[in-house]
Amino acid sequence: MLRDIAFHTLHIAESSGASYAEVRTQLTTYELVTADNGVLKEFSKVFRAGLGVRVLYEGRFGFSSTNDLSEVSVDKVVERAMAAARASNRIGGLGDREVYRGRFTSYWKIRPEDVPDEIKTGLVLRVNKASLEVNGIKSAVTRLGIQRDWRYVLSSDGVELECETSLLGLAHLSVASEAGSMERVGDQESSVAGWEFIEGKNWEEFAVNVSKLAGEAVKAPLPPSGRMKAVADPEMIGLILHEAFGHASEGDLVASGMSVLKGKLGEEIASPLVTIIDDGLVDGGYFTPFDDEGSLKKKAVVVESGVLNSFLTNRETAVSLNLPVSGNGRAQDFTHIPKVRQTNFYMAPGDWSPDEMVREAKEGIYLVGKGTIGGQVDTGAGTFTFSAGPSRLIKNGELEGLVRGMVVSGSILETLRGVDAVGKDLRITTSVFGGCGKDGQSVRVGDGGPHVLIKELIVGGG
Amino acid sequence: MDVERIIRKAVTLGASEAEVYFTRSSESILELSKVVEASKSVTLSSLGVRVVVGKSTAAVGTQDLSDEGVEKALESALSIARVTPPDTKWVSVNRRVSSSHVDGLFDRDTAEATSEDLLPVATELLESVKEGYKYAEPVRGAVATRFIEITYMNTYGGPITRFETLSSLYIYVKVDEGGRTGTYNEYDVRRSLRELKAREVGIEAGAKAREFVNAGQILNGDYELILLNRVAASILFIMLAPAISALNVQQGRSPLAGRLDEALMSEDLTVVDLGASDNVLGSKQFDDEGHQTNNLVVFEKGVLKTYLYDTYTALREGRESTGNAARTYTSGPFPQPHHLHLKSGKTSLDNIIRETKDGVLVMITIGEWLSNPVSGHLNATITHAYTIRNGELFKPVKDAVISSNIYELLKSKLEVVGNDVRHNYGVSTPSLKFSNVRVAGK
Repeated sequence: MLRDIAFHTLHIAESSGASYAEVRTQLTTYELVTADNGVLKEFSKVFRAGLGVRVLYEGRFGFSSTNDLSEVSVDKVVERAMAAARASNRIGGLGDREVYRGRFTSYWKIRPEDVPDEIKTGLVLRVNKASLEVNGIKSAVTRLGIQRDWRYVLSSDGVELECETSLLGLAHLSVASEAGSMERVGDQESSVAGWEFIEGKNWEEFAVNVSKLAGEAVKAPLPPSGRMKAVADPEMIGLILHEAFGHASEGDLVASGMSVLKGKLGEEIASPLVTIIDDGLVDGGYFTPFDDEGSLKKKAVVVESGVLNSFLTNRETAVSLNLPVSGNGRAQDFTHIPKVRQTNFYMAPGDWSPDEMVREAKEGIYLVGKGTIGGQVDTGAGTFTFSAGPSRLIKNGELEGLVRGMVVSGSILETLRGVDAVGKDLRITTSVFGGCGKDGQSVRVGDGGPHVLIKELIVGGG
Repeated sequence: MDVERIIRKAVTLGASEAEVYFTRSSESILELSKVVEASKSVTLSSLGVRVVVGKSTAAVGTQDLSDEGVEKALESALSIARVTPPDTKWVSVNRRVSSSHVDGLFDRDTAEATSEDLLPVATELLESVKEGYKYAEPVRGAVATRFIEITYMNTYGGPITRFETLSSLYIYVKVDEGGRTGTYNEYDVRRSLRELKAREVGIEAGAKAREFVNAGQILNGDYELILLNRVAASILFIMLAPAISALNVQQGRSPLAGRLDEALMSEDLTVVDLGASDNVLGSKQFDDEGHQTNNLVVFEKGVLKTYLYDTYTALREGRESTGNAARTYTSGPFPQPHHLHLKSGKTSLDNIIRETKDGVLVMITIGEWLSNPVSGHLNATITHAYTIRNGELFKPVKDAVISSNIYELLKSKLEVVGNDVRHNYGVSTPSLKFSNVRVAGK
């Protein structure tokens, strides 16, 4: 039915005078099962369905959306999108692209929605209770998240693409208490897969390990504050790349002058050891065969051996920057205008082992991603920050005792120039519990890389 | 939406209790660069249903509001509740559905504003940037209005409905000079479109971006630290809101558990949750489970007086909810402040600066949400600040991390409370000055 509505909407938009229109319909279900301190606190299911339409009218863009799919409402949506276009005053265009029609489906063996609810509640309670048995654990929250997302894009230039993605995972948070001091550690694992992903892992052990780490972290000191050498593990490097570099390479920020990378195409902006890739289809990452403008997502080598090779683009920014369309126009859902976003952003592996990097660093910090909350960047000022989980100091080329989770910061242009070694162990991850935020929209992304040795980061310790 | 019919149907299907949370919203947004880049208008209706079977609950949210969609949501909720293990601490949903009298939450012109109505405000904002500094360029921003209608009903009472409008704008500005770049951002949020201070915001952002062209670095060390009101507000909310939640207290995730009536902050600090105050951004007539709201003193002269309760956490302790339930249509309720207000002191920001010998005035931070409200450890990354020498702003600086325990800051390290309260949505504070705060810099 949503397909018929999309065709009808496109027809109305075109007959209202739009020189181009793009209609997106979406159907999403999200299940969340939460256990809190041994009790099943909440089991929620959410159903979302709606439509968004973007029009180009006299060179100006307008967007409108609704979840009322009656004929009258759809007519009004087009009317509002046209009014929105009249309120815009930037004259823009759309970059050329190849037009495709087709259907993509992520792989799953067992459809998670077909698994009985009591199996899901049983799992979450069992995992939660196991984690509470670890000494010193005062509180624990376990969540199972299951998302099915169906997106359909139809446009005036003949694109008709649909994609169905199944994403699920389990997140756990443990709070430890010791001598009046408290510490929390959280971790999650997600996969574009079916219920077989859940069946294939010992989640009690996963949660017990989180609890044990919280128990150790609560007794650990903070690292000293200041600038120091850092070896970042794959999860950390994913976050650093995403914040420190990925956002600054997004074409809309470059075009508007809000990225420190503007005007630097072809320049050496990172160590020659650094190659950075954005790819819509990669093991461990999120499934993004095409973007929300209906352009196929192409593998983009953003940095090649230290040289800035390209920016990520959607159709609008491809025109402003005179670059090819990279298929990175993504929207959180049908209520949002697609923006230039990363898909799976990662660093290509090198040839060092983690041990060799720790020895090479001599003094510094080994930053661990397990327990991180995320990061943030000001692409214009060039400053980024992210949180690390409980980590280890490096002394005399060896890993020393645990230090508590902390915040680390650096400058976009300095950090990647200071990459002294790149590991051979590539790992990319995604999450069903979070995503990347920009302009009030959150999209699922993947990120990662190998272990990396960085010359200098600012550590906010004690 | 016939919410009464949904409640009746839930009971017919076997629910012992049920509640409905229905929202209808419309928003208009102009996205800005140097010009109005794009414009959008969104209308959405969403239905949240929570059902109880014995002591088992389930929540289902849907945006498919056809008869079949609503029926499917209800059946799904009931089928989950039937297989959900009981929560032995469950007592009931809110049995006292009622409202407080609060004015000034809604403006009709703002509720009905179209994209075209926002244009004059956007134009004024963009043009005023150059009044701040003639070479300043706006690079990103937005002007937005939002209208939201919320209806609540449960098996004991309702339906009751509240209306709210919001309008907001922000601008990010850049100055390129001599191969260096200065940036700054500023914003405003009000109930009505006509109250927005577009010109003041544009001028401030333009003028400040010019100053930050020459931003240097801070040396590692301990400083007298002044958090500008907007930074203090953000940090206060991030660190205190989870810690004063009765849910986190009961579940062992708050450092404030068991510390009622203790002096945890300086006696110069009084924090009130303004749930039922006229014209306050975040105040409302009833909370998200239909309980009347209150103005609640949380810290009185530094002493912790209460936690914030929803019905579930209150009934666990055999007391009345404080009217602090928050939710979206996708989840059940949880306790949250409506508007945390830190009461004003007497000293102007200029005088605070004048009394500072070797300090840092923090104008903008990022990543303060990465702090840890469970341990109380605060981290924030400075993108814009000034160093202060002998009572005067000395030079603009960036790229440093503030690292400290929030309760140590608010108790033993608090020096001065400013008189310049700034109101954001959900929080308002004046600027605050602390002694001896660790800053990780160069």
